[in-house]
Amino acid sequence: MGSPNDAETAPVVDFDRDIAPIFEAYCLDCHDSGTLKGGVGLETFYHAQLPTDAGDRLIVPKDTHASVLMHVIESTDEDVQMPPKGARVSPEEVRLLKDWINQGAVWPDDGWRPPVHWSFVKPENVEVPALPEVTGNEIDKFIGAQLLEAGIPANGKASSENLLRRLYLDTIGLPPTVEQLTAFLADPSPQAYQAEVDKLLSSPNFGEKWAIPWLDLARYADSEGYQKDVPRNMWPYRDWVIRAINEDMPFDQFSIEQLAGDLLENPTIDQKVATAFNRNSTLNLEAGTDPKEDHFKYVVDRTNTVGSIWLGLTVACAQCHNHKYDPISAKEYYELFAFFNNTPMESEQKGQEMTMAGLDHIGPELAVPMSDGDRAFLQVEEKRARDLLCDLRNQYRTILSNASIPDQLPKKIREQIAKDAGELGAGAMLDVVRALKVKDQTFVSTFQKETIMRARINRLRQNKVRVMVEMPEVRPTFVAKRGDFLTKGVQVQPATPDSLHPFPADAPSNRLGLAQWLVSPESPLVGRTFVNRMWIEIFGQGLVTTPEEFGSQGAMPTHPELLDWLSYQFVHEDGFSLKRALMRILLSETYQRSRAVNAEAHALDPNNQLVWRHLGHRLNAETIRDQALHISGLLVDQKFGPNVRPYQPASVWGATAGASEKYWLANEGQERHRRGVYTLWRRNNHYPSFANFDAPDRSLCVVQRDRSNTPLQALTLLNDPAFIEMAKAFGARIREEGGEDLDSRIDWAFLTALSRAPSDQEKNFLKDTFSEMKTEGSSDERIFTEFATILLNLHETITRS
Amino acid sequence: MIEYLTNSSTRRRFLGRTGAGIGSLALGSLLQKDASAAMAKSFQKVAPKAKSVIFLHMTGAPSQLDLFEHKPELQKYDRQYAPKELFEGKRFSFLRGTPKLLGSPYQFQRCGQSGATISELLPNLRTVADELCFVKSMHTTEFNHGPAQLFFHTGLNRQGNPSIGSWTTYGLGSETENLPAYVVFMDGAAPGAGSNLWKSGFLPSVHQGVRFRSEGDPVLYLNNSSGYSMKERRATLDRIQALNQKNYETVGDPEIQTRIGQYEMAFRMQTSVPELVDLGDESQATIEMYGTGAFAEQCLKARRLVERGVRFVELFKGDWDTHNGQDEKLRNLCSDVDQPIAALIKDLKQRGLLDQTLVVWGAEFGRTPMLQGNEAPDKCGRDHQKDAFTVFMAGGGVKPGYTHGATNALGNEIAEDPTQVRDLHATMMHLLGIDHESLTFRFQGLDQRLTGTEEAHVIKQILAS
Repeated sequence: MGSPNDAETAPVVDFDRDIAPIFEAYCLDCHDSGTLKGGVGLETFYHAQLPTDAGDRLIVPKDTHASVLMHVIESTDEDVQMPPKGARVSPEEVRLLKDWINQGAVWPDDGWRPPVHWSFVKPENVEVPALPEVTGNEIDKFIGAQLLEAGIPANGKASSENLLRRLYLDTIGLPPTVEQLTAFLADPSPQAYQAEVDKLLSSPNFGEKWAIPWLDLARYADSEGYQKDVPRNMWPYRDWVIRAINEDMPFDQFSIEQLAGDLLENPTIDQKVATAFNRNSTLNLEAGTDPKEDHFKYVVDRTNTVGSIWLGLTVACAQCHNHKYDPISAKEYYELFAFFNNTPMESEQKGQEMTMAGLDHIGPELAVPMSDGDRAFLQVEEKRARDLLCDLRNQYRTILSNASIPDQLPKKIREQIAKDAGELGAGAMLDVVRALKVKDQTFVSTFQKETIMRARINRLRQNKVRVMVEMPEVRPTFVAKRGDFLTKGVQVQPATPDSLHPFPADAPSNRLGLAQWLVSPESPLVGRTFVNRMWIEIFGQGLVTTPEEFGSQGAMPTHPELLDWLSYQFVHEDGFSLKRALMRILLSETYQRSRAVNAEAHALDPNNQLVWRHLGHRLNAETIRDQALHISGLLVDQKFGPNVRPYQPASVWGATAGASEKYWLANEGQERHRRGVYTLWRRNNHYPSFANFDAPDRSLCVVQRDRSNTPLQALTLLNDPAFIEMAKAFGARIREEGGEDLDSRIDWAFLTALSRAPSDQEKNFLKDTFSEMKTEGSSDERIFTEFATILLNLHETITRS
Repeated sequence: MIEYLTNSSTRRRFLGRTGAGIGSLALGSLLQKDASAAMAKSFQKVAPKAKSVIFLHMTGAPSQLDLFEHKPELQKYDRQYAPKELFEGKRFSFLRGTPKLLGSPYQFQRCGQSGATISELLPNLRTVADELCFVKSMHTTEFNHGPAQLFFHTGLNRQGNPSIGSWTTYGLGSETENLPAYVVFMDGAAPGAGSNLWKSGFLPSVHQGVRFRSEGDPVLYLNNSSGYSMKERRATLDRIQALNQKNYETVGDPEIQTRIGQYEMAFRMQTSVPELVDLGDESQATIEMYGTGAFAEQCLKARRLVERGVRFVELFKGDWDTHNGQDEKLRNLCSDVDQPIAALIKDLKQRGLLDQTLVVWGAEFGRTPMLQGNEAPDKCGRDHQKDAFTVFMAGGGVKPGYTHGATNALGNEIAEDPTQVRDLHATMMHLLGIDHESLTFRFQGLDQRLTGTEEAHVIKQILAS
């Protein structure tokens, strides 16, 4: 090891002459600026200053001991030494390196810096193109400018019917009724459309539709995930989201309350409920899990989720190594991680060590007051539990009256037998049946169902939702080398990445400060990622087609100026209001364009990247169901409250329900006809029609859903008992509400399902079908159910055009 | 197949207008579409050996030390305290303090020409020993079921990535237009990680596994609701298709054609799936060869599926998590799977299908040489072991009668040729003719692949020459 004394006596080392050739000869195969193995770069001044993947410093001026470079070059340990194979650095070269470091490691700055990626620069208030020949609002000017440049003609306006259906589905997730459609068509004034927009944006159904993409991002679900997949009570959070969206809570506040509502001054119950956002992470309660490892995993999940939503960056890569493409180091990843690392443990081993019982959730919870509606729901559930207990007692009595009771029984069992069944709980009865060695499958399954209902009721009665709480003492955070939580690197403090906007000077160094930083108007990403997601919801594809990735590996925006303008408006003019930003889109001509395919335009831009037409896209899983319920007149428009379990075949649940809640005990009343956003979301056993239509299981943050087209979707719409019930109900409506003659019934059915009248061809086709079926001897009921089935299965019906 | 199809006036009318008929459209998303179109098969760098995979996953992790790993040394120190190096500084699910060793109570035998060691619990498997290729040096990073199962199926220890079956159909598509490309069966306790093990993650959801059920519809919603005959269903379908076709003629959206194709595929599945699961056309000898029980039936169905061009079949057989009472559990489970697996291999061979079908038997990890719980022979068990376990393969281009890798004398550590789960994945892909580094899907700004970003190597030694 060198000492300062050596430095004084040694000849002056020149970097370019003496040191660079050593790096060139031994290091750059793996440590050039392209490869950066282990996060180590020795080609440029810039890279040499970065911490390694493990968070260590490569070269510390005047300290050879602290310089990891010298440590690995001099090591004799085969697993550590560098270069790993081939010739060793000669003693003479080692001396040069040491002298160089002792003399201050002077490395003339070659000036290389990573290029600044477009999305890391704050968007400006771009000037709207002055194009008198392009009509419409600012959006139309931006879109029009690029269309003009490309010489692509834009489509004209969609038909009024089509437009209204589009508008309804995009705002409230339900199509218009025949009456709503007729009223709109009857009013030709230009204000009629604006009035519809205003009405729909303030509809209480708006939040039910717009909550869904947010709940995908928030990975909201009603079970733990992993092996046990135990149910959890998180629906108050879902209601918080719907309400906040209905009230148009500004997105900055919406974000801050979810990330750090608990840290606000005198937080309200609602603000605490909002923090359930980050308690939606999966939890592994499998026996034998190390709670510390699981803690690491959910903090990772929270860090990655924040990256995906507010930064549009896949920070996850930096969990194991310096981000290869974007300027986020592993150390910076763990600095971000540190903001979330200060919450209490969320699971612990049950009872003594070495048990198969699994872990218990012990994280912080908050009891949420119940509404009248919630209590009514609870009463129905309670009645059901009582009925099951009653059944169980009757079955118990029968078993007892048929069983021969041996003399040799434990005292406790004998005492229980002596009692009337009415005095015994389910567990006591099971003990007796077991002691009598009676095998009765009906009794066992009733017992299991009663147990499930009791657990369901207990969860409801307590109505606790998981929330975030900060610990008084800070849990230290270390870089986890290669993403392994047991291999600790350097200790880090909460901080945000250097390459992004500065942390607000007055913000606290905790989750609240992080939240303020994420939604700061200084952020180059908060507005862009938000408006891009909104654009996807409406147009089916984003201005940036990789909404989860705005970094250098993501796609370039198709309309960079429009993206920046929308982003600027959203942050600086609209006060982070979703509804204002959305209204601007809905009022644009671009939004109102027809879907028709113009051959000339199609040839130039087949993927419609320049938005010359309106793309249709398949409705999402929940909307397909909601719409069919609405069309068939079955929809129960009751909002909020505990999750609903609509009917599903028994075999779906049992086999993969994990360790708990083996039976799916469906809600039998009108509950089952409520909107999909209220359906129980069990991660390992998703409601099947949702799974078949690409609803994610929400184990991880999902920025954009897939839209597949599969035979299982056909089978679902044709044969899922829920859809069969809807077809029957819709068929009955066609007969009862569709008028007297066949013509008017066909018209009405089309208007109800597709918001348009049938073409002559279509009408004649259905009339032929009617005669055909009549000839075969089908009843009217059967024929109109057939009409309903056909209409509910059409591609057009499940598509928003 | 179904006479009334051609007799239906609706269908004639409809087909008359569309010309070629719609059957071919059904090739839609499942057949050779996604990856092949997008990447021009740049990932197919080697000639494929296997066309299909039958993946037998023994959920819960069987004890390799009682089935394939004969360890006389362990026998010798049975119920003595384990040496410190077996547990100190290591992580287990349940073992704490100073555990004892548990010698296997079962007889082992060297079988066939190859001399593979197989215990008395698997007498039928012994008869096909020379078809098997063992990897006795598997290790994984996870020691709990959920994460380990996810890792074993998706290469990631959390939920969210596609399963190996999804990657396979994404790469190679399907060779049948009547059945799903990726089929999943289950027997016994379901795997803890649930449907994530056959989901398509970030790949298009057409690549998710389709579960064949043993109760109710074999495929969910396959059967028409009561009161509808197949003839009526066909008529309904024709009407839907006719209106969809009119819509297509107006709008010109190709997605409508895909929808029409998928409805046709659904209809064909309504016939082909019941036909597939109806074993009536199998000979008595075949049925007897497989034996009885749900798993036996599933093995036979797996053969029928690959015979019909299904790309990837996975059978989950649960309950191998023998922390206690191992003896009885193992005897029962082995008797469930032994005869069917041996029969499957023989049956594939006699039909000339074994060469093109890769059979893989394995689990998420193995079990410890250390005894867990009560020492009594009928009560004791073994804990999870991530550092060394065994898988075996057959057919599909692997070297028959070969054993790769070895563990040390007590079976707790790998002594030769450590093989990580990623290597197994890379090898399976290789046998299917896929270069695991080139089969990618862009997600979150990265070209994602089954084997992730860490190094993974094809296990060259086990490839048949």
